[in-house]
Amino acid sequence: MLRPLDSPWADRLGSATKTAINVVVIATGLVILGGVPYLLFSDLVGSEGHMKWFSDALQRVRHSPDAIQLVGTPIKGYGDPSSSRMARNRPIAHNMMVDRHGVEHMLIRFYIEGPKNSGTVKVDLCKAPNGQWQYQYLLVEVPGQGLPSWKVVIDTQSPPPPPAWKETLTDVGTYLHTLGVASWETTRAHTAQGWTIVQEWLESRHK
Amino acid sequence: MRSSDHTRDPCPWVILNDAGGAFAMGSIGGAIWHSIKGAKNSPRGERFRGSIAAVKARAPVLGGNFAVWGGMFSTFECVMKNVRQKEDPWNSITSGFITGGLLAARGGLKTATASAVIGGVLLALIEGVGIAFNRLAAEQNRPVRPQIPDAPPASTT
Repeated sequence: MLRPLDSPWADRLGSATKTAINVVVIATGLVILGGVPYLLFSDLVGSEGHMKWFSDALQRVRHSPDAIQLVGTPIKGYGDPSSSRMARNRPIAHNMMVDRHGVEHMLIRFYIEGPKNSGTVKVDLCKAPNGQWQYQYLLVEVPGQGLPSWKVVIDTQSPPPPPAWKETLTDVGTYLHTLGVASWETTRAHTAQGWTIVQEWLESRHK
Repeated sequence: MRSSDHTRDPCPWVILNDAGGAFAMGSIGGAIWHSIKGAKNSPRGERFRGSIAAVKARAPVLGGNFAVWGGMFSTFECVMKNVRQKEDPWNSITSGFITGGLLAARGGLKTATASAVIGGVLLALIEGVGIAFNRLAAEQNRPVRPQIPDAPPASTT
């Protein structure tokens, strides 16, 4: 039986190329496996991505009384229609650019809709020198049935409202808490009532 | 109406579209797969009849499984869109998670959780590929800054 290093050079070349091809295939697979989650999660979860700022801007719009007065509640946010069949949720139009002062800008545009009216929201974020993104402007434009459209500037100096999932959790939590408190009170009242009835019966027995 | 997306049906009807599409994919794929498998597993001389019999028996089952998965996924996606009042990839990921979990619910909590995680991860990858496509394709109509002559740079305070 020939050991691997004794076999003729043609066989060694063949097996080496096979190994090389396998390594290339595995490397491509790993790149795709790591690359796709990176693409997705850098946009979705990371603070560099436009989706986090879309959520934050939508929350600010939902909490601003002017927008609620114009558009109504609940406010639904969505993006531009996409001709790609793979897009199940309409993607949010965004643009990263560097202006002539060298400051990086992120421009986001999405649409909102409520029971009363629909509108466009335009957001501009600048990257401050310490690396944080800050709001430059956050505008809501609502068309006005022949009259000029209303422009609402949303306050971005106040601290950000809580994200939507946290709001849902707190709502559910408070609802369950009130339910629990109410049921505890009724149980206590009924138990106390039953106990007084039992006590009276015992006393009547002893007489 | 601004919110009417002219590329897809509105939310209730898109469930029918997705379930039907999944059924078509499952049936055609199942027909191809089981015809080859049935032909290979039949004695010589009976191969054609064997493959037809295998297709008749198995392909609709696969189509039905795909249709159930696709219909459930689309239903939960519509539910998430309505509940959250927002359209972003989390809708697809969460509905994939729920679909995977519900379809394996008969196997107990552990199996259901594993299937749910697999469904969620699969949909996260699909959404990632969709986002990659969106980035590569030149989307028209990107937002631009208004031409303000002396826009100050970001505050450095």
